[in-house]
Amino acid sequence: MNDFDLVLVTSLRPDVTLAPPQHLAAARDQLTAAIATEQRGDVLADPDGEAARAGDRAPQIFPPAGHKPKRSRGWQAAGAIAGLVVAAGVAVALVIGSAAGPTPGPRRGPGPHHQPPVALTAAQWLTTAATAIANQRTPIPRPGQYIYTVIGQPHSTNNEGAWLSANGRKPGFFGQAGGHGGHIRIPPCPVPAAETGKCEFDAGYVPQMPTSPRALADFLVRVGIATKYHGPPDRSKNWAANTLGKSMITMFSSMDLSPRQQAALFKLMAKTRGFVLVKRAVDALGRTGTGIAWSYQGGTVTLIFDRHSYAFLGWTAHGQGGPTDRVSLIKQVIVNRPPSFK
Amino acid sequence: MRTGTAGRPVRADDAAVIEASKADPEAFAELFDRHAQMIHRYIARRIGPQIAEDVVAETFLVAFRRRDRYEPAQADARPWLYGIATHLISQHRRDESRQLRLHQVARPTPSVEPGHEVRVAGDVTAETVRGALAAALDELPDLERDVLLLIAWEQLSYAETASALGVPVGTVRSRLNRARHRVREALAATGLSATFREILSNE
Repeated sequence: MNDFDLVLVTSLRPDVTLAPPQHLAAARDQLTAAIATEQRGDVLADPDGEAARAGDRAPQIFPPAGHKPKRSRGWQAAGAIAGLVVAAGVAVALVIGSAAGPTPGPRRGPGPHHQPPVALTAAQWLTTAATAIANQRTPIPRPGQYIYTVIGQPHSTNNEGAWLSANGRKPGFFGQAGGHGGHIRIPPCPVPAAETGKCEFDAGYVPQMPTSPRALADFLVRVGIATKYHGPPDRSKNWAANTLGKSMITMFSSMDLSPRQQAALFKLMAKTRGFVLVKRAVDALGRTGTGIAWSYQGGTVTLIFDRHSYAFLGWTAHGQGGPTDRVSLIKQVIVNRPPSFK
Repeated sequence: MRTGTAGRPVRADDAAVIEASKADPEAFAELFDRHAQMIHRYIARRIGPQIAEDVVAETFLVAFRRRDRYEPAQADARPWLYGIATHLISQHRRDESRQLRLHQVARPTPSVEPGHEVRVAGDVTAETVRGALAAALDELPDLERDVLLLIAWEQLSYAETASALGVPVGTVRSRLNRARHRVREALAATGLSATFREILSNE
């Protein structure tokens, strides 16, 4: 058999010389650290064996400088006065939390017996939370419905609402909670189109979102929620935590995640360096929860979760000059259609 | 017995290193010292140098975590490491595609020992079929591309490729045949294959 095709393929092989050992020092250091970790006996539990199958570290999905949650363009553009009016055609409440009480509703609440012990690391808390919520059952939106989410501060007159098509095939809207005042129309962008870069991803419910941490990380990159990092290692400190944490804000503040998807996010965060546990964190509504925080370029962001149900409550951000953001997730429901914007 | 870094004994083969690392995890670093450069080069060839170091680090981390499952009868760990690296490369498909597209706009420098066939191939591909060839590789099914590149670029044997990918040797053969068929079809569309075959037959 003539091997001309193999010869041609071989000729296309890139000319890469063997890297000198010092160029691989950082990689060797990572291995050495893993060895030391095992020798100390503090390897974290990995219930689904994900680490063994796909590597112990989360993939490096770091944002470029200046990365902000994608959803911020909508939230920032939301207009003035709005009340917490339930959108037309509310079908099923997803109970995320209540402004009146310290703990949110039962949607993601497995009960007190799942409460983690004290003195946990962020990774341990996230792993415990993932295990606790993974098998919960929650309402599933129909393809034609919308996910309506309200975020903001207590007694605010400009809480912000998002209406995202459950399958991304209808236009979405960002505006004032309740549908009063101005709004921004988001063009339809289902997952397949987003994955090919044809449009910016905006869907309220994504059943095909993977439920394993590794695949989920790849998915987030493919649809543009998270961004890979290709810079030098010495500049990568906490960039993974930053893009992943902000991806969480993006998703929790406008999308309905299934329990298994949320569990996968927690597992992915548990595998990512840079997160620390904040035992007591208070959201904008005064609800006390557990915080998962990270620092990046002088600022610190804390995601706040209910201690018992692990439901997302909101987030706070502090820059070098003090607090910069304090937002609560006030409501998330499935609705049949968005309001009639004027 | 000879001693290596930090006075550790230099073991005869990779399987012995891996076996020793079960009781003494630090021993595993020797496997990195033996093979990291080669695995790094393979990864860099496929998805580019920018993220190759990250992926080689991940390759050895996965290998370290999975060392309990290593088959002790396999003295040479390279196929195993190639297999892990190949799996991780599959998660960087866009980078590999970008790397292959680069071939369509920049002349590669063949690094193989340049026999006449390769020299001719290099000259011809530089001007005529580089784009078609790179596109054909890019469009191959992942499993077929893995087999083709492990054999053509890394010079692994069928048996080593089978070991790396965890498939029977027969599967390697069939995947390789399918891949080569697709490559030949792509080359035929350029009108090159007959010309090149003629050049080779005149040697």
